[in-house]
Amino acid sequence: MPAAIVVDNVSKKYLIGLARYSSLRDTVTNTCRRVLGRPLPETARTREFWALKDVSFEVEKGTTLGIIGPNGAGKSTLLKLISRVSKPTKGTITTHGRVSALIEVGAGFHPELTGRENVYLNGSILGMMKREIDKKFDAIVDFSGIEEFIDTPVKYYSSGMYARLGFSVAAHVDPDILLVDEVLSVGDWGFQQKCLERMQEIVAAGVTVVFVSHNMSAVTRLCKKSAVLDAGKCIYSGDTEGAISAYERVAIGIARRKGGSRVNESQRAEVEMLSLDLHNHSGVSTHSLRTGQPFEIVLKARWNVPCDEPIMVIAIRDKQGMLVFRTDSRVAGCPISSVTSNQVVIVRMRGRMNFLSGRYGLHIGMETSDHERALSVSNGDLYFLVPEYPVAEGTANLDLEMHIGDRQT
Amino acid sequence: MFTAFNELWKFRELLWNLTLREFTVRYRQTFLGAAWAVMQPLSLTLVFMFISYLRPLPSDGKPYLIFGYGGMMQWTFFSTSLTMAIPSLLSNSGLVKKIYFPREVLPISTILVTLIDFCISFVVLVALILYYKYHVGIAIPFSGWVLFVPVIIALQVVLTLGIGFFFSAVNVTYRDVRYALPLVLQLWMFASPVIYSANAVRQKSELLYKIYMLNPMAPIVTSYRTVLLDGRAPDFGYLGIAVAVSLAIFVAAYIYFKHVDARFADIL
Repeated sequence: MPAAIVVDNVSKKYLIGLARYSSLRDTVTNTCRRVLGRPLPETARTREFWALKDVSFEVEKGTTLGIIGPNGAGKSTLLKLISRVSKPTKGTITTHGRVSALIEVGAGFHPELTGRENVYLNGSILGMMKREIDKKFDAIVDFSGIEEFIDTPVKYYSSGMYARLGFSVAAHVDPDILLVDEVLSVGDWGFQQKCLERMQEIVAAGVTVVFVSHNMSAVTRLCKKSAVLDAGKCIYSGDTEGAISAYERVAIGIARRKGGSRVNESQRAEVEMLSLDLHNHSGVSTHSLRTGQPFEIVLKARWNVPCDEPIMVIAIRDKQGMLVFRTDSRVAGCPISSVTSNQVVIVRMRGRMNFLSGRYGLHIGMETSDHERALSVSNGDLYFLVPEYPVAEGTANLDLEMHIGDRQT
Repeated sequence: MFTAFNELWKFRELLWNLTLREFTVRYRQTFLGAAWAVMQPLSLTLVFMFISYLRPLPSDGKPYLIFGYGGMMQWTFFSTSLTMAIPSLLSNSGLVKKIYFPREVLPISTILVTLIDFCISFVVLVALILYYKYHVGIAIPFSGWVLFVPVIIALQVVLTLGIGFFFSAVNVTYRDVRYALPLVLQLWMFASPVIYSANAVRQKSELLYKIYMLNPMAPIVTSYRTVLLDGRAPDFGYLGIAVAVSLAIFVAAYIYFKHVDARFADIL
């Protein structure tokens, strides 16, 4: 099969800082300063940020590629590059055929125009000809389900109606390559299902699709192959099943990163975890806890710097990187007194596992007493698994007791 | 540049729809509607008519209303176009950041809308000329040179597009443009024969006139009057310079615009 999209060693650099756009005066003075060798003012300094780094992959004609990855991994940047909204700093992207991007539904809607006028405007923004829109107009309106309001200015629409009409236009473009970014999250559940069905129709019609989503079930349903992005790098490319498990590993890693400041290898952490263990009800160290089981977390922390009344934070995230539990030693009513350098503190926490099945990442963080700064912590991570629980599914176990009362006739 | 034109052609319907959108939106929910297109040049002309009443402004012996309105209407096209076109990339940043299309359709569409306004106010000018000729009885000779008007319109559109391309692109990076623009346009208006006659400059000094006519707007505005009010051929020497300057600005600006347009989505 020939490739519809070839992404070859693509990197994208952004400059971050205040000086993304500037006034002429700043540019003139900064150029003078540079010429004279004087230091630049704080605001003029920008930092390079590589949103994508050496990403390569191909999408075969008529196939669907899922792109998954945590927030900020570079997924949207990648779509922008494929759709030519932005240009890669390095590398090349080749596409064959008409590219249409479902990036933000209703981008380009004008609030003063009616739904009908906006369908034509938005359609032409997405590259459709008037004849084409005429032909599909009824299908578009029908799909959106807002026939009644089609001649009302869209400024009077609810956000749901707005999104539905936007998706309907975009879903009827008929491109050779369709880029989809998280748009299935619009509207109510029923409309989402409709969108998903429409997507499947598009895929079945032989359109090449690149699908960015956080919705793993949608990715599984639509894409045979997927790529995983993390911090601008493509860390996996292959079948979707493998991609999802690669993503889960990354997401748990993200929990570690977000939980506190990352330890730079070159410097010594301010707090070192000498040990961090999870014990089950019989006191055995484990990585698996059944729902309902009591457990104990035991940790031994050594301070490399003195600290006044530090606060210990414990956070647990699920495989998608979502926070499921967080507390700290102060709110839990167990403040830590001031510590001196090299002091070792042992902490025990007991609880009952009320999560349902899944993989979780636990992170221990330390903050200064005013919550101002997170101290760097090494080895503050722990992973554990909760196996399937026969009587419930979801995230949390509520220990629900059911009681069916006397029937009344 | 030809590939750019080619692509622009593919997006002609988008250009048309954006123009339509601008036009509909501009006068929707207004009481006077498209009459506003005439209000601006007309009211300014009335102001200068009053000044001319206190102390005559040189108008080549023509009634000041048609003389001044003719220039002001053209100037309004030029200045309104630029005022709308230059921030057009910024005000549509939502689109620019999300969807690919040739970015020049944004400034072009705003200029096209202003061209519609211009046509409306042109009709009023024709009505005024007819009124003065047949009702008041002022000698306004007609000739075949009237047919030259579309050429002058094309010329002013090319000049406006060139300036619009360049500064709309610059405005993405340097927001100074937005503040400098009204000032520059105001000064430029007084440096062009909008409210007075270019002949008055010539009578003062031939050298000054030569320099004065290098401003492409000067021969453009003057040519309108020569063709419409005098029924004579325009001064092709100065008009030729204006054509050359306008085309050069247009080509250079368009090349510059296409050179930097890939960066717009990153900067906006």
